[in-house]
Amino acid sequence: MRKLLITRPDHDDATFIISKWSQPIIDEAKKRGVKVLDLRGGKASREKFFQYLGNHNPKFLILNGHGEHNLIYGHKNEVLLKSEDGRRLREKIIYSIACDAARTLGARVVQNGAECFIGYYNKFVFFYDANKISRPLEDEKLKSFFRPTNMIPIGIVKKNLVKDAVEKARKEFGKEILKWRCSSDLAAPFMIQALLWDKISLRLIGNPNSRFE
Amino acid sequence: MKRIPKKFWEVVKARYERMPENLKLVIGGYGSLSKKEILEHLERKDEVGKFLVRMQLEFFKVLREEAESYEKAFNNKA
Repeated sequence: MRKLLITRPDHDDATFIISKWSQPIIDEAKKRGVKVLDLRGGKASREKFFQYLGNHNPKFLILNGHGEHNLIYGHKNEVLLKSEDGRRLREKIIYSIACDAARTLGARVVQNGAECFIGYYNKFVFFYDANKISRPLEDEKLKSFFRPTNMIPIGIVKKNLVKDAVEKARKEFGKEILKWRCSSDLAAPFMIQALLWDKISLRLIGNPNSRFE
Repeated sequence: MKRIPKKFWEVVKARYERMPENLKLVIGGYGSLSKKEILEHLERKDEVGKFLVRMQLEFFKVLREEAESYEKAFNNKA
């Protein structure tokens, strides 16, 4: 059985939004018979993460939360993963929205035997409507950021090659940029700038032909 | 870019002054920022402010490359 592990800290606005926008990924995975190990809120700790990794051996890891070039944080910014942990992620496919993580951590885990790491080389940025913070899935601005980036884990769940999933996400970012360029919304110039930043920052490190099987 | 010219700071600040009040920006690692907080960071010229300028410059760079590619295509046709 295919297994996916996802960490979903939700202790501040940013992690809460990312956690909510992970739900479509989880739904798609369950629909396809993938066993989802959901480390949500306080369960997104380093201890639980390695415990689940050891007990269930999931192939695909989705690591949400804040990050730095060599770290990914969990709930309340407890360190979840360090670049030194690379050896414990052998043969995994890893997708992370955590900022800067593709810079050092991504390269290190792949050097140590992970299949591939997909993430952001710079800080992942997004705009949202403060009036919709309690209903992030209904926020059109958030949709413009999370629909493209979610195409990566959803594509992987659908057994696409990771390079194809990443390419689809890049194209989707492009479509969103174009959409906002044609918009007269006062938010448009800010949206375009941030979407462009994320699109440029997206990286695939490791085997582009990896597949979640 | 080691030192950001004063003019850049002014341009970026002028742009964010036009940002709608209900819009908030999340910069991973720096958290969620309101318009007021963004303008304060730009005023202080701190780390977040520098990041915002970098993001703006990247945008200008892409616009310039795009304009150049259009110009090239136009000249090739002519």
